[in-house]
Amino acid sequence: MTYDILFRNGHIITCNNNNDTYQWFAVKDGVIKKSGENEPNDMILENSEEIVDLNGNTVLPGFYDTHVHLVQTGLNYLGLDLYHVTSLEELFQKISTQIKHKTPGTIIRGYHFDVTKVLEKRFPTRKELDKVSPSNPIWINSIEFHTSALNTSALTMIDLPYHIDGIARDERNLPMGLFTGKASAFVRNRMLKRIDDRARMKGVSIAVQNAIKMGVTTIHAMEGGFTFHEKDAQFIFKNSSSFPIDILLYYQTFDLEKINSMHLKRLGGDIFLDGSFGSRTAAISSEYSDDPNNKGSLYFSQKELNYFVKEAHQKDLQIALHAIGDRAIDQALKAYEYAISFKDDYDNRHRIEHFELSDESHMKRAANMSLVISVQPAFEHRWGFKDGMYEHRLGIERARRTNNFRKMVDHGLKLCGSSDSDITSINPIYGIHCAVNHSKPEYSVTVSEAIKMFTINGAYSCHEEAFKGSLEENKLADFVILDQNPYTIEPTNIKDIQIISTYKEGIQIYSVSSKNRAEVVR
Amino acid sequence: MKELRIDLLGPIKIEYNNKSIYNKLSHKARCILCYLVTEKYVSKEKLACMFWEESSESASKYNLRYNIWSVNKLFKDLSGDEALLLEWDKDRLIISDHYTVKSDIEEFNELFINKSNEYESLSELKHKYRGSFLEGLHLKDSFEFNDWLFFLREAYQRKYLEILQKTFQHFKKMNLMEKSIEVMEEILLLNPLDEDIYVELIELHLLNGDRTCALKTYNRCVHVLREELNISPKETTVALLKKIKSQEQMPVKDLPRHHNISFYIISANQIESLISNSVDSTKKLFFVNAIPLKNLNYGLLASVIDLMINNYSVEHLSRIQPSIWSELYRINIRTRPYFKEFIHLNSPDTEKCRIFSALTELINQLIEKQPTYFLINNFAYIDNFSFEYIKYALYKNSGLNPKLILVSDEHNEKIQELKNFFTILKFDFHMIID
Repeated sequence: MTYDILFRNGHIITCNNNNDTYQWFAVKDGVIKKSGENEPNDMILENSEEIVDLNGNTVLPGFYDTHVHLVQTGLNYLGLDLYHVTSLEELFQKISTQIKHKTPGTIIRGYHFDVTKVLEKRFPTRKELDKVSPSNPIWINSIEFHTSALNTSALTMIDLPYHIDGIARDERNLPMGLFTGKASAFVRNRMLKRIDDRARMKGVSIAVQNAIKMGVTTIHAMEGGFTFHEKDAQFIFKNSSSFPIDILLYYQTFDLEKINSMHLKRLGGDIFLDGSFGSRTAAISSEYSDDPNNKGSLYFSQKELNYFVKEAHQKDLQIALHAIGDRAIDQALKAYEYAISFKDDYDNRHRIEHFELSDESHMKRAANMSLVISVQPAFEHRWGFKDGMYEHRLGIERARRTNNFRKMVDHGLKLCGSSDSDITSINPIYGIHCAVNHSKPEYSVTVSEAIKMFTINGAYSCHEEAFKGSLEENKLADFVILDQNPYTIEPTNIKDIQIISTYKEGIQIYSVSSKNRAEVVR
Repeated sequence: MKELRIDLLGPIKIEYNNKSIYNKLSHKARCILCYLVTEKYVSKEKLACMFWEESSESASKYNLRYNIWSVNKLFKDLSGDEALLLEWDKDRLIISDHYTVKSDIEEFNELFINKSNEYESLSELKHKYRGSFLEGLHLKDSFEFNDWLFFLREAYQRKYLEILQKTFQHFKKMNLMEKSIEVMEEILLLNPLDEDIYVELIELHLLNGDRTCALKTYNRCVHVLREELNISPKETTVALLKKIKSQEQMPVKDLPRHHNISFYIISANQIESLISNSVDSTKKLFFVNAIPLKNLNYGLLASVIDLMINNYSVEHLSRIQPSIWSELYRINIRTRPYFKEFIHLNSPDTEKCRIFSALTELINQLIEKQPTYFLINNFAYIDNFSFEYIKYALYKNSGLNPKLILVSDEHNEKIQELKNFFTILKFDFHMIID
């Protein structure tokens, strides 16, 4: 047999069941056909059209990021990140700078505006935004997407129904440009509709290129539905094959007929059973520590959710539900238990996304149903530290319970790792680092377990483990070359590991200029 | 004739003697004209301040003077020698009365104030509202002008909503369900997140006896609320689902079955032998195809009329009362030669009944007492209205003559529905040649 390319002289961590390591593998038509622990023999060498010397570097399977809002992540590259803005003056400055690079009429979309962080503790008004941007429509989204602020140019675009709830008005009873509740949902829908697919393509291309630099070869794109837009999901559906890596659509819809007509095998992602801890909308069983009388909200009744989950389950679809608070997690588990009680003959691999405030009983129930849990280890590093957001919202005691990856793995749960981008950046190495260096050290997982979250478990989570997720014969040659070995490096330094190259089906799709890069020797 | 027409509801239109002059005017000049047409007498000082907020007093006055000059220059060229904008009472600016100025908002307001309780005016008002006030327009350097725009945009939109609601009430009072539904859909277009409007629509569909549309609207409502707002419908809305479902079951429970009324079903591969063996001058077999256009109301019935016209002589057809042809003209224009005057129809709700009755009469009068069979091929494709007719016809003639032969799978949902009321007879070859 001849091979298109032979990769040799590497420390190849296969992520197979035995955690084998190899020194080489040979690829034909994008698939690993042969691999070995020792030097390849003469026959392999002679029959390989091209030979790449890995220079002793560590090789891992290409990473999965199993929960990404890809279109939103992409559009953010074209918009304005307002997360760190501390005053309205700073906001106006940022908008002014951005306008200089835009043609008149182009929509400027600001996102992650946190009203609690700005000095004035309020949103900008329509007229304030008009002063900064008279010609370009401005659309500012609050961090939790519940409030939108528009200037006159943007407001003129959307044909607002003036009798809708949630329009803030000035002393003359005219729209101030601030919209909450139903009005904000209306604004969001209309503005996203205005964004054309060329902008989506431009943004998503940037996002995908950046993901590739981080070693990602498969993305689960959670698109459409509440706070997102139908057009996002349709864009991914139509264009996923235009990108050099695999993009699997998880359509966040309740329309099973649509899923069926599109021949999709899965649905959901952020089908929100509850909100988030940040906005105190995650459904928890006792009050928020910093907001008495508030236990968050469940957005579905159990009956409604049961009905929907059962319908989708009966059609052998995989379902992914967003559940953060313990009440929401319980609701998701009940719905899955209910559906499975009617039919248990198909390996659906239903998922719960986030699972942040789960306890042992939740883990056992999830394990009993072989659910897949999509976790975001970077959340712990962002919010799980002492005096961090988890402690503020949940109090010290409850904050001690968040994201207990160790217990989840010990209960036999399959954890797949993700960034929830745009909440945190697409960066699996950082995700692995956070899972190994949990802010509650006893909840950490081993390096091997953490790597599997972002490789073979990612593949398992979407029924792809037969041909992706590990570097074994007859699987796709999707892999990354690292500048350091995560098993031997000081665990606290895992985050510093650099990606030297990313390969998809044996083709190099990214390479950093570095002394350690792989070299073509023939 | 010097006629200037400015339409402000929807995309702006500016015409002089029926020719668009929109592109001959600057953006600001258009805005000034629109403002003047709406407000009539305006002080120049106010205009200068409003349109050039950021400029100094002298600059803004100069800019206004320049715009007035350029507009007047255009109109002098167009009209021969007549300025459009004149000073009045030293400071005020008006449009010269040498021009006849017409605008949609003037017509709209007049109708709205004086005649908005009359149906004909409501319909005209609805058509005059082509879109929001000065749709898509704003001035990038004038807060005052933009505020004025938003104020009027809201005011006219609210008037439009009021017109739609009055129109809806009118149709509802007249019991014109389909028209009422159309208007409710227009209200929903304004605000697709309004659950109460969905509820109203569902109720209307139920009143109209259209359970399918009621269910579709319910699902649309649930879908929109979930995907746009991530909320569940109100309990009262959910209760409607039970009502929709119960409407489906009611007839089955409440209506007695008619065991003595029967129809036949055959499979597609039996058609050929049936046709080839039915050569018998004493009996007649009509073959009609249902086409896969379920939303084409009366589609199958129109084909039945074609069959009748094709199979009987003009002499026969001319003997049928003209009123029957006139009723059936609504679904098949080939009936036109057989009647002179149209029958005025007041309500679409009675339309179905009149068409059903007329078609039954037509068939009965033409076939007289000759044993007749209607074979409906591809029955699964039948449109909903024609399906209703099948039930009607079976009740009406007790399934005796003509007899129905439906080409269908016995498990088809429509066959199952018929089975609730009537008796299915399996195909017996001798029934035709007996």
